[in-house]
Amino acid sequence: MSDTAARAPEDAVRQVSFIPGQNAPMSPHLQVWKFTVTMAASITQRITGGANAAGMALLVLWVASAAISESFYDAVTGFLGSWFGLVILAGFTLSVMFHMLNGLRYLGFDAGKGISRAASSNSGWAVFLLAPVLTAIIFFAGFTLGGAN
Amino acid sequence: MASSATKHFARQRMTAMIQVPLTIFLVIFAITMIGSTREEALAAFSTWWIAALLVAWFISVPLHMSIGIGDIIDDYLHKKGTRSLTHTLNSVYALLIGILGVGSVIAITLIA
Repeated sequence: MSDTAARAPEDAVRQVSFIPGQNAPMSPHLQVWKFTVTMAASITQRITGGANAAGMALLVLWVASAAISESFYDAVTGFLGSWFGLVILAGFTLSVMFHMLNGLRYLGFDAGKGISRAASSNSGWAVFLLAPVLTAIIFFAGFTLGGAN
Repeated sequence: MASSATKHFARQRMTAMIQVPLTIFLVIFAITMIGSTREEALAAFSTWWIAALLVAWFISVPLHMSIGIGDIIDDYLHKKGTRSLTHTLNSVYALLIGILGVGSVIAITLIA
């Protein structure tokens, strides 16, 4: 204590000793954050990425079932066409649309486009709005123009 | 994962750019396939350009998703054993998707 007090005032301000596990800051910090749309888009990109990876199993199942047998193909398409299957497909479509639109946004950022605070925030809101709109258009097209109709 | 950051950075963006047109194609293709029988599906899947686009899809997506999920594992799993096991499972899943997807499309072009 007497040591610190003896130093010049600006040194005393800089001299902070962190003890890991006691007062040292932790990173990544999961408890302290502020909501911004760019942050929401970022974490949603990760969540939808994981969901898309799971959805790929369905896509593979669809193509593989056609290769395997008629009864298996009918079972898979029957499941996908049931109300439960359609709910999963709607979620998968929404997830893919979000990931694609937000991914395009990140490709733009990589090219140095739209990285100002206002622009990145606006494009973030746009992605959250457009993803469900595109999903709705795809499902509308499926129910009206789809192969079965 | 951390030792190949530049390679993964480039590969993730490359596959992303490839997958944008492929995804648009796949959505439109899936809509046209609604209600089709297995015979119609086999005919569609074995059309040369549809088969080619599906193969491109099933190669690009496993590359993209294994890097993406690998990054999530690196960020959130800190125990060494758990992390390397999850990385292995991630690679196995991506390989399975790729092999089953490409394999099914090739099998269909052979039987149809």
